[in-house]
Amino acid sequence: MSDLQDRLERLAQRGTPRGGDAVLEAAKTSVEHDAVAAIGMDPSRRQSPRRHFSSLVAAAGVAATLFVGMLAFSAFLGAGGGSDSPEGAVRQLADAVSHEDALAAADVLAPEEVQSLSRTIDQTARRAQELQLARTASAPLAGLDLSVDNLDLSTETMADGYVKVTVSSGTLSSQTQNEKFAPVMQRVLRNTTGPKGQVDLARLAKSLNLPTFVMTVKRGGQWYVSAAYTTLEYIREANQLPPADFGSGVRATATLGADTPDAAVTEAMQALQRSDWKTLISLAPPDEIPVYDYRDALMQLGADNQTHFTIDKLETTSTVSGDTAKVTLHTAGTTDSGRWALDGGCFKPPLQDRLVSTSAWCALTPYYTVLPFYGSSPASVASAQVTVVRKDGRWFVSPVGTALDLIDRYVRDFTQRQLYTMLNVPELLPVDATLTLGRPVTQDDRRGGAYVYALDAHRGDRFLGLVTWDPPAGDSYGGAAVLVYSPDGEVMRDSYDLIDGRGLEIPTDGTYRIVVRPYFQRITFTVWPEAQAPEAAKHPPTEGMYDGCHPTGNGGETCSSSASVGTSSSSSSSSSSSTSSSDAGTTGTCVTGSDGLTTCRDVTSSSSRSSSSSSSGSGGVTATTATSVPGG
Amino acid sequence: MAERAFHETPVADGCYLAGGGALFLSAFLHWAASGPGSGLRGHALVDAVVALGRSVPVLSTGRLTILWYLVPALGTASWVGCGLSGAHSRASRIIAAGAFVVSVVVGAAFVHLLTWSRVGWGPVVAVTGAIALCLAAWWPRRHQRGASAAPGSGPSPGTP
Repeated sequence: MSDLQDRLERLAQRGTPRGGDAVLEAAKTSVEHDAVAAIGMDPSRRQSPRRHFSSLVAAAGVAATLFVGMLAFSAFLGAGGGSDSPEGAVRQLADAVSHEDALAAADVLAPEEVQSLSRTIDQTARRAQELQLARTASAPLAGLDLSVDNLDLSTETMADGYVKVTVSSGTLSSQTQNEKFAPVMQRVLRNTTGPKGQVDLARLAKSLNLPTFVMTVKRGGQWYVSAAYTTLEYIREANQLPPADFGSGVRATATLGADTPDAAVTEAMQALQRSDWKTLISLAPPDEIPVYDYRDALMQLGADNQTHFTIDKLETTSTVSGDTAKVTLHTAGTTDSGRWALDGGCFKPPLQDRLVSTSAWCALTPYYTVLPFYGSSPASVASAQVTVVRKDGRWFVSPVGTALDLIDRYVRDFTQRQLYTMLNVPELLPVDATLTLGRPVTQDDRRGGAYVYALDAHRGDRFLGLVTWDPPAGDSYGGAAVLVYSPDGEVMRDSYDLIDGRGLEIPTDGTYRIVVRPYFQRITFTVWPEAQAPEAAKHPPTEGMYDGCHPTGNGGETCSSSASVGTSSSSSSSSSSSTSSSDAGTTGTCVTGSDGLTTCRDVTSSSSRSSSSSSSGSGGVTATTATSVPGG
Repeated sequence: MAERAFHETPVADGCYLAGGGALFLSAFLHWAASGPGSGLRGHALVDAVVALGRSVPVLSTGRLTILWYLVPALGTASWVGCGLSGAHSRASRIIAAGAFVVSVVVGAAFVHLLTWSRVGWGPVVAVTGAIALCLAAWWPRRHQRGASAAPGSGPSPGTP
């Protein structure tokens, strides 16, 4: 009891003394409060902002997930290229340039124009790595830094789906870092300093009094940069020609082209012969080369231009695969200058009959092919074909398809030997053999590649060499260029002494590299100790040919005035490749300068070729007869 | 119940959301710093990179493409998980673990394909985001203010 008494007293002393009504009211309120709390109303009100935020986060997550899903879905379904806007396409292209990403650039170009360009770029990059031209195929342009900055664009709608994007301002900066290039490229660029350049993109077409612009086209809902429309629009504006009828070619596709692949090629050749530009335009794929859209402008431009050749033979063979056909063309005819012929990729221009044997002009002389000089395999060239594509049931000659096919062949055929020779770094090629003195070596490479021979020598040794050649048809180029590289890898200034009868003296002990570059002939090369050399080596066909001339480190040569005909003492220089010629009794060496002109020195005086003096470099006139020969 | 978990661990939730955002953002960054693929995303990017000649064992082009798309997808899924059940929920932890595995695998594949010198910010941001997700999902509770266990979160490592 006392315990209960104590507890009641403690309870009576809590809080403020209240009456019975007050206690009951407080109890009632407390019960209501507890009841509300029990069904969870009050906590909800207190946590409302939290629930709102968490719901927002969840909703944003759902929306973003859907966005990613759509991105993936559209990427798998669509071409994956282009941009959402014309400006976006141009900025994407600029971004690709800034990142030296050729594939990304191809991705934003109109797909029907570039076709398999990505494959060609990819193949080229991999080949560059195989040939050690690039450190890695993934970064073939490493060492070259490009940057497009401050790009400001404006747009002008030319037609539905065709927008001209004008570059109001922007700069393209470039810089090379030689140390980032592959060793071969570093060697090639050894005499150049890393240039830093900047171009004002808004003034690229200043010479035409035109702003810089790019044409964009809408394809499949995406915008792409169109190289073809851009080029044609520049031609049109520069010549103030009638405006284009945008999209008319694509709309009229079913009424253009030819019935068969063979007919497309045949009609194109005949139209070219007749200078029938209208027919020629109608045979180009309207989506690939939109010349039909610009037909009024091009017809006006071509009105004063006529071709001057005839066709007396025209045969085609074709293979069709789906909507693409490959047509081999065999055709021949005449011009005012003589007969011409085209067999596959072997083109025989007029005026060349007296320079090369007519029996094997394609296989023996890569000069006369539709592919570039070096790297073209005769078999590959001979089988070159014209690509023809089918659109809306009609066949069109595809210039882009044909060009990419040729480039693919060229890249595939290119060898390290030809590439290094072309880049004037043949000394970097692996050694083909070690020379044994007095024992001849024979080379039968008719594609212009150089061969490298090692020669162990000691200081004071003197050597003489001799190049003989075996012209198969009697009127071909002959001989070879021979350079000697010292053990430190630099070309010897007295290299020519080895094969011009003077004799080469070795300055230091070591292994020397002798680079022999046949002039598209089967050649035989021999080196003797000077004392044991035959008379033929002491008085070779090249005797006196190199007087006053020395090779330079960049693959060219310098000639002193002692070898010049002129009144003043001076020197001349040229660079790049040199070739030798033998033509109807004439033998000589030709040096191709940076201007593309090939200067030839005659060894014998009885030249049957048309000759003229040629100024080379600054100052003197070389003491030679000279003529231009087709360059590679 | 979810609302009780959310905002009761603000640091962890913030870190979790940021990690998810990084994963999402990575899809729009350059995965190749320069050269082929630097301007591409998704299957075009993977195609360009794989076409360079190197390959990743087990990962075909198709598999790598799917994994690449999973990176931003897991990032956005983490927002959904965090919004619904908080950063410490079982679902959020599964997403975080998945994002970490996928990001590391894809990142390693790109390093292998491109080499370190050419890897862009994409893989770096993705892996960083995945690490942030994992840290947030297993954030020790002793750092939380007014911690109350979220359903399904289970005991946190390091919690006394």
